[in-house]
Amino acid sequence: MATDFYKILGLERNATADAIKAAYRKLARKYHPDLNPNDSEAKRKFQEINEAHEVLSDPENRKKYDAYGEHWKHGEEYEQARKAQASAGRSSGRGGGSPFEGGSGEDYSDLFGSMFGGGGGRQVKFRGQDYQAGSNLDLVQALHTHKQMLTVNGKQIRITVPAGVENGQTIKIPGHGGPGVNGGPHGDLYITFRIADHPRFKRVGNDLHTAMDVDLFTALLGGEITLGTLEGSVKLSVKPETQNGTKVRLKGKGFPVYKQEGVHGDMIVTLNVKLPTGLSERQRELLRELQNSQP
Amino acid sequence: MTTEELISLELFCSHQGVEIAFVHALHERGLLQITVVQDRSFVAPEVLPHIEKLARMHYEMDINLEGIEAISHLLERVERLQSDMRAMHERLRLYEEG
Repeated sequence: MATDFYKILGLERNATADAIKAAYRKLARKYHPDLNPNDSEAKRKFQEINEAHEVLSDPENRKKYDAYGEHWKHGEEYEQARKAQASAGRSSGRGGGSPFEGGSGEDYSDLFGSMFGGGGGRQVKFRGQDYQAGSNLDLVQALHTHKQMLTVNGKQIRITVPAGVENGQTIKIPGHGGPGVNGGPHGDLYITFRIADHPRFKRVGNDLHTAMDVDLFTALLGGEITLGTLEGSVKLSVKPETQNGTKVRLKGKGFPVYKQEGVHGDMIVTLNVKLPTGLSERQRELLRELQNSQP
Repeated sequence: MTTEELISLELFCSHQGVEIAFVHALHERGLLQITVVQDRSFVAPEVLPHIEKLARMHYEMDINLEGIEAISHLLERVERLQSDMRAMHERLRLYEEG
């Protein structure tokens, strides 16, 4: 379907430059990605509004758009093709009138059709195809910004994977897609990351969840335990009389936040109190004593 | 952070075509942090995208300072809610899979 830039901005075709500016600002305040974080629909809508504004706010481009509609970018090619066809028409005895004169949109569409369809028209540049690729990472790899070599369509590409990338997240590498046609620009490469589960850590947003066993006596009397994290060990204080299933939050020991250097989520540790087994007679005796001393 | 790691506000504003007074007004409203060293104003490099975003609101979308202040607070809330929602989805996924 043809895109009507005036309609996108909610304007009449005779709108003034000030009206175009005001309409753009009004819509930008509603759909700008800065004001609509993580909203792909608003982003798409804003791209349309932005494109419409870029064309209509430039008097030259607006003139071309008014004359050629959605094919405004190819206005010059149209003019050249029109002249070529007019002269071909004259030489074949079709008469002097150009078949494209008259200013109606339908007349142009045949000509553009022949230009794009290769029916004797000029060669038009086309952007290359976008490529999709996948990259498998484990949780430890996703922890640090690192370089990675990918082979896409037989070509090796070196990419930087930012720390904190999420499972299912896609990044765009401009210009690394398929080659353009007739000298047009390359398409883009989209890489989707898949991050495998870790046996000990579950990632929830930027937080890491894990569980740790604590012996009964440390849970009762308090103490210190050593907890293995994805980046080495940390000492964790256990409060006296810690209950089984208690969750402890370690601030800033979670996953790095994507593209926010130095910012990390938290680590949430669930403490599982383990009861001792294989008690000696003496130990049983002491525990009974303890039991009897209970009020 | 040493002064060498900070960006001169004057330099940033002249590059971006942003009025220094605008950035100071944002600072006065608590929307960003400016460091003053020997009467010269500096900003941390990680704050630059945030200033650019606020400048876009002002210069491209014609939003005044009061509007920017209100929007900034609302955006913080939106982002926090979105982050909570993502975390909830992740947690729900764990239960559904497990």
